[in-house]
Amino acid sequence: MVEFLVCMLGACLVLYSVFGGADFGAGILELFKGNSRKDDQVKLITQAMGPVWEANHMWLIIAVVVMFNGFPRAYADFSILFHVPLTAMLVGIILRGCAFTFRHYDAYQDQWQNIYSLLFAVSSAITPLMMGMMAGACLLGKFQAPGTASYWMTYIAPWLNVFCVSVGVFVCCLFTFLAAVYLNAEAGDEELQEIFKNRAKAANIACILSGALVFFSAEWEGIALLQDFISHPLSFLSIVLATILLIPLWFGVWEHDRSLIRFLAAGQVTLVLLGYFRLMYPNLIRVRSNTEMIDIDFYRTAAGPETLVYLVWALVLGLFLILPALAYLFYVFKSETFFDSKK
Amino acid sequence: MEDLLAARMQMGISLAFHIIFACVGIAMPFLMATAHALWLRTRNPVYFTLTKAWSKGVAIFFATGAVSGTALSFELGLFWPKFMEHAGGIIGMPFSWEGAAFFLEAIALGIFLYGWNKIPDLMHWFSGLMVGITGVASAIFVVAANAWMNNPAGFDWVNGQAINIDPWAAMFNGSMLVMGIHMVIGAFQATAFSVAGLHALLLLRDRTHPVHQAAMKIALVFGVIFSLIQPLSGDFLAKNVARTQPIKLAAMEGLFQTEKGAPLLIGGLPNESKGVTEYAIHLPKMLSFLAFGDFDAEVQGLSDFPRDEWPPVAVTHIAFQIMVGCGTVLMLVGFVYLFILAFRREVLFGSCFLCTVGACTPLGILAIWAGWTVTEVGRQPWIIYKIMRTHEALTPMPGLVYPLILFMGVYALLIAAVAYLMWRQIRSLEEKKEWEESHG
Repeated sequence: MVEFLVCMLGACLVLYSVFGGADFGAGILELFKGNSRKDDQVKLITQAMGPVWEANHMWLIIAVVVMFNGFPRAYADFSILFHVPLTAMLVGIILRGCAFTFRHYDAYQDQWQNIYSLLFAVSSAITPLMMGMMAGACLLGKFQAPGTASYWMTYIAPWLNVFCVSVGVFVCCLFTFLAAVYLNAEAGDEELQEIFKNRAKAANIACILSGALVFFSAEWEGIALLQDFISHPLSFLSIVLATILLIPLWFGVWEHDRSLIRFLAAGQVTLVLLGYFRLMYPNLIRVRSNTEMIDIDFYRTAAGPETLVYLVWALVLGLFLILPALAYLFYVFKSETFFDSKK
Repeated sequence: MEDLLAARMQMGISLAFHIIFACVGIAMPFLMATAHALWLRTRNPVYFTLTKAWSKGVAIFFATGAVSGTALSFELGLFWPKFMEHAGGIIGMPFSWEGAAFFLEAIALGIFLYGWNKIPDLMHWFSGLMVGITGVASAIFVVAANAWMNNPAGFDWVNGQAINIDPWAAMFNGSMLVMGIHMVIGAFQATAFSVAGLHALLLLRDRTHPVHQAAMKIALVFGVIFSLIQPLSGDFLAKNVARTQPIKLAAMEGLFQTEKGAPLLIGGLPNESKGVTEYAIHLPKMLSFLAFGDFDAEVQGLSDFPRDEWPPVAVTHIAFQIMVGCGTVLMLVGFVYLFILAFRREVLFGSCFLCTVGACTPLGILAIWAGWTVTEVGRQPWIIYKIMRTHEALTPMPGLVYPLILFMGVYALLIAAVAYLMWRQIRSLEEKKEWEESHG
């Protein structure tokens, strides 16, 4: 039961990253519009995100629901330890969604568009940065039990450090890369395709660099991340696979099929996440500092069996309703990007 | 500022903000689907313009509601981790169902908003309707969780731990249905009257504007139906509160002494230190009748309960008066509208009635805010009634006043932005006049 729910949680986070993450990435891309055809870029982003972004966002809600229903004690601890970055993430989520909608539905296209655009782009960067920093902090594990240390050591230092910032930047780069690949496939003309193809390549390089930075900064913070990965063969395998997938990504596929490359990119992001999950499992939060705190693992914090049974049924039933509707949504708005995109 | 007060204020402000957008998300799709159906049947471009205009409003309100709702779901943990730790396993189920309904709502909205000329008309209309149906479902599930906080069920509380958990019994607790229905009706009432009022105010500037006329008529039909049934649902809920939370009822009514044949107090200012409600109008025996259906029934007063279990009496009582007052006015306006429809159709768009409807614009929202103040402040000092006190659930993190200031700033900004956007929508509607062009 616990295993099933943890898998569901992981699946929600993967889906959130692959779909919702790209929506954040699109916002980040707006920070790097360059000089050519700025308005068309924004138009494409609005078109691509408009019908689906709210649905994509819901995977996060489902993940939260699974957390506080299935693992209430882990959720409580997570909320206490990450109060500050969660708050920043929420402000990011609120401003991103509102700015995007306001920009699209404003009755007049005037100077307000610039303000909404700026807000949209900046908050699109803050949110995944915070998510990545929290993910990094869960792995780094420099926690202090509330009330035993200073405010800084308890609520700020665990996530505001070189390693967590590196992970945050890495997540931002991943999402930007995804967005650029998706937008390349959805772009209507070759010039726009070229723009996003170059963006995707740049973002991919940024992913590789920031990914390397994650490993270096881990050494700097005193955790042997590489050994950790090697000691979890599945984790190691997924990271290696994600790296190997770079080869078809860089050589050949670009010229061949722009719609298929989306699966390749999404697959890479999924592999990176799976690697992280396997490394963490069965813990949500690792504690490596010498305090009375112990690892926050899923088994110890799970709700009673009655609750879990109901939650599993609610999820299965819910997905039975959601998935066909979601498939229809993507069929209506995204199917043409598959049939028309072959060169 | 004390951390507890800051946390409570932030929850209150977040809820007050979210509920406006949530209510519009529940009720507006039904108004929109009505206009849409009229367009599909009559092909009268007035209805097309109206559907389009309303759907833009829904898009703006839904997005703001969705993200502020996301914030709320996290804030429950951020501020009340001890509550979530114990309650999560018990009332997580309605939350997970709410998550599913919310997901479907977002999908349906995406299909509706962007589906013009892409999918068959009937499917398109249905997707709009689905936004509303899933919105109603979300509301009922979320209120079920709140009903459980007021009327906990489905577990045994032994030594500070919940055992024998039955999520089904927790969700279908004794207050779930009455509270859910009261909320959904309130959402329809508030939204319909806000929309009708707004269009009435616009009609005052241009009496013959066909879009505003159609809009006001559709919205008023909803407004009247729900305003007339709301007092009934309120009565069911009051009787439920009388049984399950007698102390809340006493605070709502400003009743300090236990009485047989207790009077209903209208208005007035409860004075906690003196133990009386001053300046109120007394209706003899009415409270006994309303709460228990018997003029001589005994109603428990506040003095029957330990002093440290009293909610803030004045706030609860006054909020209750505001809610009932607003509801009564809306009901009366409903009767006036029925009278006009039956006997005096020519005054429907006269200044007198337009001003009346215009004045009702904020009343439904005000009633909802006041009603939730009664529910939440009236439950204090408990977060789970008679099980866990609010201060016990508070996060250990100090300095909660800073997130409060941050969120107050964000919400103030968003309220201003949404108001400005709506104003611009209305102005553009007046400039465009699409329905005239299509008439040649």
